[in-house]
Amino acid sequence: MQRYWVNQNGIQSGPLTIDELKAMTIDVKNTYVWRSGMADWQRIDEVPELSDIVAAAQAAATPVPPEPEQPAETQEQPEPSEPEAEQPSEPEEQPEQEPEAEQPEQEQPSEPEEQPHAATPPAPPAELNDEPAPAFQQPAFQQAPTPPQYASAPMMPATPVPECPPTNLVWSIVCIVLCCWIPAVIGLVFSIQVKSKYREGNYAQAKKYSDWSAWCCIISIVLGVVSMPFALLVQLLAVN
Amino acid sequence: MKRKILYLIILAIVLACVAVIYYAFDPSSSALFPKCPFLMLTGYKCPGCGSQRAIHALLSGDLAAAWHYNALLLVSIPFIILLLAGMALRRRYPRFDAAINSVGVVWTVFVVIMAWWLLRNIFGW
Repeated sequence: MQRYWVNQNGIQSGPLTIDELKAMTIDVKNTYVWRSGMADWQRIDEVPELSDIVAAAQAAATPVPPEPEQPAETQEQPEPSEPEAEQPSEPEEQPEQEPEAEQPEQEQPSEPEEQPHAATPPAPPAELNDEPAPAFQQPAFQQAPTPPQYASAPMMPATPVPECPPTNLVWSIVCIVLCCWIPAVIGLVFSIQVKSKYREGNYAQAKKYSDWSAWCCIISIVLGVVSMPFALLVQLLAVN
Repeated sequence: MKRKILYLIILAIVLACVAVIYYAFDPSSSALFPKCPFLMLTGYKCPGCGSQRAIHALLSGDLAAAWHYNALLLVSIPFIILLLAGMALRRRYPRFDAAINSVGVVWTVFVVIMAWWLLRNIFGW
């Protein structure tokens, strides 16, 4: 039987069986799950095997938004978890991020609070490695029966999904329109890869393609600048 | 942060100088502007050919001529501005930035540029 770790609004619980998950009230937009075998945390509606739970939760949520009951956790962390959240700090947006206020249409970008323990940065950098699971997952899973250490370390990152690396689309377009060197077109192909890899959850690859597309743009600019004097020279020779 | 502003100011000054040059001189009649190396080497136009003349026409306020020289440039300028805005406001509106950088958008850009490259060489645009 597969068991799942659940992170709901920054509060982590598990391992839970599918039946236990079904019994939970799930706020789909703010719930992430991980089980052994998954490369990283994923939002619950991105896990195919849990789709019927998601469907049930969404059906239940539409008429009357229920309070997402946190399983046996007294500790409320007002940390929203959002895939594309940026790290720091738009304090004026925080008040709207009540964990119990269910917002089916969460428009504003939710940004995790500035971490008091600045010394321990949140997970995203670690996830750029090829490691199967982020570092803070591993111990949690190994001590399976005991709950993970969110209690002792309340500032465990609630955003397990790193933000997407830049696609560098703008720079590719600018290079193609102005410098007309072929590397920029290759960079554009890499830009496509960035997003598709990110969507698949392959963050390391996404980062790699992002870097490559940036390099393509740089090469294209350098080639463009270097070729300029040559082009001028040829033109002058042709005129004379 | 201060350094960033400094870079932006330098960039703005450089861009302004370039704009003045392109406004004052017509690339189609002056020998001082480099022609596209791709065109010189292969005889085929690249997606960016005509951009210098198009910029000159744009700065002179002649939209029709700019369109004639390089339609892609004219089309991409609003989009580039949109993308830059998305990048600058990424902190505050990450979803907007994600939307205009989505797979579909990048694919569309790629297809449009390729089609433009092909078609302008076939029809001589």
